[in-house]
Amino acid sequence: MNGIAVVCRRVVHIYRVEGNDVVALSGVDLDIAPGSTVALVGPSGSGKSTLIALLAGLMRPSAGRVQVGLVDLGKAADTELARLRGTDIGVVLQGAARNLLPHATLVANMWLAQRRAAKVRPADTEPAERILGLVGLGGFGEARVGELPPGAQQRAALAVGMAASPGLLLVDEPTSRLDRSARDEVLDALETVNRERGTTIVVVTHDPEVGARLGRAITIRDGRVGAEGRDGQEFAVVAGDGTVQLPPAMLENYPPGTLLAVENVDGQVVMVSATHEPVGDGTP
Amino acid sequence: MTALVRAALRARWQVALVMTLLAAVATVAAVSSPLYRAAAVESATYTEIRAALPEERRITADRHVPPEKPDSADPFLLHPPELAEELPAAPGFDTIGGLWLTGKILAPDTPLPDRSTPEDQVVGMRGSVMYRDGACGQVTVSAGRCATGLFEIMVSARVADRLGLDLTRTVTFYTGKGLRISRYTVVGVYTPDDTGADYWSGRTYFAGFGARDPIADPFITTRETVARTPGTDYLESADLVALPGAFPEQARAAADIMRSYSQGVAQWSTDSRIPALDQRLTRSRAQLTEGLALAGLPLVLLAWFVLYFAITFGAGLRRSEAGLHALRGTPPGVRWALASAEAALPVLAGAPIGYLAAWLIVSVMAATTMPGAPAVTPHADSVLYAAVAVGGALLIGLIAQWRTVSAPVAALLRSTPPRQRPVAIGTGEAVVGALAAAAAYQVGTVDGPSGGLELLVPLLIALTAGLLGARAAGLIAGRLAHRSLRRGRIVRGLAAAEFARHPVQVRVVALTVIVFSLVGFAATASVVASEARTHRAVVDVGAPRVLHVEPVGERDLLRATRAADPEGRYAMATARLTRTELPGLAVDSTRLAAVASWDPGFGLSAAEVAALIRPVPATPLQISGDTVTLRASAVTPAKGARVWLVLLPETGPVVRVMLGELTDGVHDYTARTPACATGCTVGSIEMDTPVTTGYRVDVTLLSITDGSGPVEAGLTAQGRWRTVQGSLLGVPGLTATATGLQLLYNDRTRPDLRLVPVSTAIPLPVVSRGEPKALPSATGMTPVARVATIPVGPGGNSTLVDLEYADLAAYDAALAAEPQVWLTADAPASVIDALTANGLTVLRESTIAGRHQVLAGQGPALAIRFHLLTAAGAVLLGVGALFVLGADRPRRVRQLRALRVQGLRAGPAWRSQLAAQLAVILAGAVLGVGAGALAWWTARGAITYYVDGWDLLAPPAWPGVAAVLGPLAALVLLSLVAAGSAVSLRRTVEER
Repeated sequence: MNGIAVVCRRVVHIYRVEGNDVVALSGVDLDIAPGSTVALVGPSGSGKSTLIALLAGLMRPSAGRVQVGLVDLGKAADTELARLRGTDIGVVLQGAARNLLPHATLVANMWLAQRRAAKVRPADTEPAERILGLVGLGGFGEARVGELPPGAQQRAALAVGMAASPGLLLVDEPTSRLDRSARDEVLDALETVNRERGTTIVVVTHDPEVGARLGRAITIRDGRVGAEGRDGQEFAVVAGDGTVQLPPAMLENYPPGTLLAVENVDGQVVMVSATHEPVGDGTP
Repeated sequence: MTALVRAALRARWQVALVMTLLAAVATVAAVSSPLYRAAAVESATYTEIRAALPEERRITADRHVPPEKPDSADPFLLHPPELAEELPAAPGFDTIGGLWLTGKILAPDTPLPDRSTPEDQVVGMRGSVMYRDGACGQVTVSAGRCATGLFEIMVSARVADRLGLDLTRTVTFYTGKGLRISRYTVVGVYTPDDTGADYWSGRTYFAGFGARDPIADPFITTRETVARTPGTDYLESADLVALPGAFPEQARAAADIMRSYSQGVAQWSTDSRIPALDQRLTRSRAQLTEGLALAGLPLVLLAWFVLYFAITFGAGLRRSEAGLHALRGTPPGVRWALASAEAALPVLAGAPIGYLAAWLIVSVMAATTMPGAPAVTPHADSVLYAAVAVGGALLIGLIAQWRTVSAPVAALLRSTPPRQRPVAIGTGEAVVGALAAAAAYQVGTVDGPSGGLELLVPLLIALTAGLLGARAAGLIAGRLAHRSLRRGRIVRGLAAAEFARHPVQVRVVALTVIVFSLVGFAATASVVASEARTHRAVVDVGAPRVLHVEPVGERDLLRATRAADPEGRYAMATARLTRTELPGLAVDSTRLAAVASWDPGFGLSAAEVAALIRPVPATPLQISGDTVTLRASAVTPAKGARVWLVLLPETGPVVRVMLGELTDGVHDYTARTPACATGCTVGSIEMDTPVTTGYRVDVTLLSITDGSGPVEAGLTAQGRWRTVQGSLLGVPGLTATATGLQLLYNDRTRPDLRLVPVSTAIPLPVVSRGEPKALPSATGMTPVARVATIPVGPGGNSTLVDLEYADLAAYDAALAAEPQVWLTADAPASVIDALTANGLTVLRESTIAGRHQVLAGQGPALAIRFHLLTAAGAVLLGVGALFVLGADRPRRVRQLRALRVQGLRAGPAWRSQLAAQLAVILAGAVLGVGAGALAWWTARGAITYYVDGWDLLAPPAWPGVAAVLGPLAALVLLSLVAAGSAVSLRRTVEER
């Protein structure tokens, strides 16, 4: 299946925790093109896991629109969401073992993950061994997750996420707790999947190198898209409501309440502090 | 999918095993009830039949057969009687035909009577000639052979001794005025093997003709010999003795068949107490059916509850796995099937195991505790019950999984516990409580059978107590945890926190409450029923050992018993009162306190009762010597009026001697009394008068003189003599004057001129049971005390009198009805030998222990015993639940390791788990035993203890200490399992 586009518009998500509202996402705007690979990076508690849960249809946004392909996940019925997770959206949870039944073989795990797709579009269901081969685990179909080394476990989790040949693969922290070699194996597997299947891949990670390797790294800060790095270059992002977050390093010099004049100088956006030199421009 | 299910089962085999066992227990609970019932019904039937009175196992049919008309050539010769061509018969019964004719045996040297000789002037011993099918097989022929030819007879050894008969002698048999005499040849001498055997059908051929003539065993001969002996009244008999297996269907049919014989041309007179036995069997069957219909239900429900607990608990531990299924978009059907299969397969596997186990358990119980029960075989009912139990368990499994399958994916992945539904839970608890209250009210207030509801009351009360108690225990534990931790009591605090914070612990408390409640109730019911049976056995039997002896005169019974045990420590004579319609038991009250088993529930002690029914020693009027003389003054007595003396010798038959014909004036009337050489008791002085149109009697008895001189007869003392009470004839006036006892009568009604010496308190003092009511004056008895009950002995007697009083109060010697000798448990064999040596023949023996055993084998007892099986099953389920809880070990390990990381020492860490587990069990035990007691208090009235509704002595309200053993054993077992689970954490926790 070809990659699926993802569109988030002013996505807000609020948790209710012990009687208090906690804003996890406060207006995320994001466009992910079909077949692209994106890393969501950011500090713990920034909202990246919430965002990926919304993209997976595990939660519904409190406000805004989350669209995967042509489906607005906020409006889709539970059954539709279940269908999407069984066909178009592959989800790989943090921690490889959480993605697989420990007592079942990889083949059996994949068989289970293919049930919905086998019912909805049986022609697209690939043999488990072929998918395992895609992530470098050919010949390990009868193994159980506990019998594999950590890197292979994570790739097995990717294989299960890819079992239904989804257009969108959402992966949470695939390289945490892995050594460099294992990390590279996993990233290689992701690249292979993206290259050969055109699958849109969204990865949540703390590792900047993973973000750099995937080409596009979106930084989530305080529930918003704080920045985006492309091919090694870091950009600020204009949100749907017109706001732009300054890079954290710059913020040290401009505490909250600092007044900035935003000027368009010869086609370049210039922000001028009342006491400082211009702080940057708005060119992408 | 198969591979996935197989892999899951393999990975969690311990849980699967526990589920299999739980399903097996549920199946055992369901199946054992019908299997047990089938075996119990047969065993109860067998026990009931074995314990039945002989007359309840047979049908006797008699008809008096007149001979044909006299021969015209010889008008005094009657033709042989018209005997039945075919005797009554019924399937399942053995017919024993017989023919009997009474007459007199003439002594060899006696002149033969002619046709004109009055019958009462024919001197001879009363006797009978008898034919009975197969009689030769029921006697021991000590000399000669069995009679086979015409007019050949066998005589009993006793009669041969009495008459001096031996083989080849000829015996002359006289059967009535005008009839020819018959001569028989003695060809054999016999001794009956067992006159109480079923073969003799209770016929008193060997009891002689009452106390007057007790040794008059019949001549045994052929049917043709009896038929050709001239007579006027032949008694033809057909006794149907039940063969094994006749009950209940064939016996019921036989009773109907015999009714038709009684209405047929032959006009058989039938008698049987088979209907009484049949009624008991029917009741027993009904009680078992009713008692066991729902008996397995509490256990089945409990098993389902534990299964639900196990499945939901397991599902709770696998919520992340279920979340994974949902995350992959697996269709709900597949997810449900996967989850359910993991529960369903063990349940299905448990079914045949449970069925087999139930079969084995019931087979063992039947073989060891149910005499007469056939081999236990599976039947359609049991399969149906198994299907219901397994179907219910499967349904519960499916329902339990549904909550997991339908939960939100995110919640499953986070492994958050399912949301509690306080309204639904509260409503459920309220419904259970309301049901328990309604059932308890129904059982407590409605008389009669409650349709088995009483069996649900313990469960409902236990359930209510379990739910409420668990809730309360959780709250208390929460506060205790808070306070203990604040005060630094780590072990107690952590234990209480474990108890309070995990819903599963609360469920285990509820479960253990139910288990202990059921165990407590079952133990209580079982112990109370056993105690009640013991009390009843005492009432029914009367003494540790009771010897039933052949019919014998009351005087002989007393004499023989007292002679066998002169000190009165071991033996006591008893008999039923037969002279009144009042069912009463006559006992030798001088030994009552020493011999009778006495229950405190009777009301008065045995010594008190004995003193009441025999306030003063008996003062019989005794004479001795070869002659007795009565001096009497008669005023113009009727011609032919004679005076008689009835004397009761120490041994031998009653003697009635004629003193002479009354004549006018004062005269001495003397008779020879050789039988009284060693002493006789004066039974009565009797006068007869010829039948006339009017009667006038004026006689004064002046003195009595025996061989040793004047007898202190009290003829001038008031109240020493009395007339016969309750006589249908005219009663003369009796006055003690200064000169003697004056008898006056002047009426057209024939008088009853029998004078009886008063030797006892009059009226006869009686202790009776039940509500006070006046005794008919004709009984000659007066109630002196009321007690709750008495040892009723045979026939369900309601009064107790002194045997010697009763014998002396009678004017004649009477044959004791159902004579018995009661013995203490330590009565030496020499006493029994002495009883035999003194002329008593022991027919059979009853014991309190034997009676208890019979009662324990009846339907109600078997039904109550099933409660114990239920209780054992409940304990097993409790153990199973604790094993299920063992699956929670990873959580506990994580928790304890976290505490260890924070500095908690290993000892307090694992001891807190141990304390939590034991607290759960202990709380369940305390609450459960309380709930069981409440259930018992509520439902005890609805429990059936006896098949015949016996209620002479109320069962104990509360059990003895033995009832504690059941809950105690359960407490120990469950505590050990729980402690084992906690202790197993020790090493893991110590490793950190």
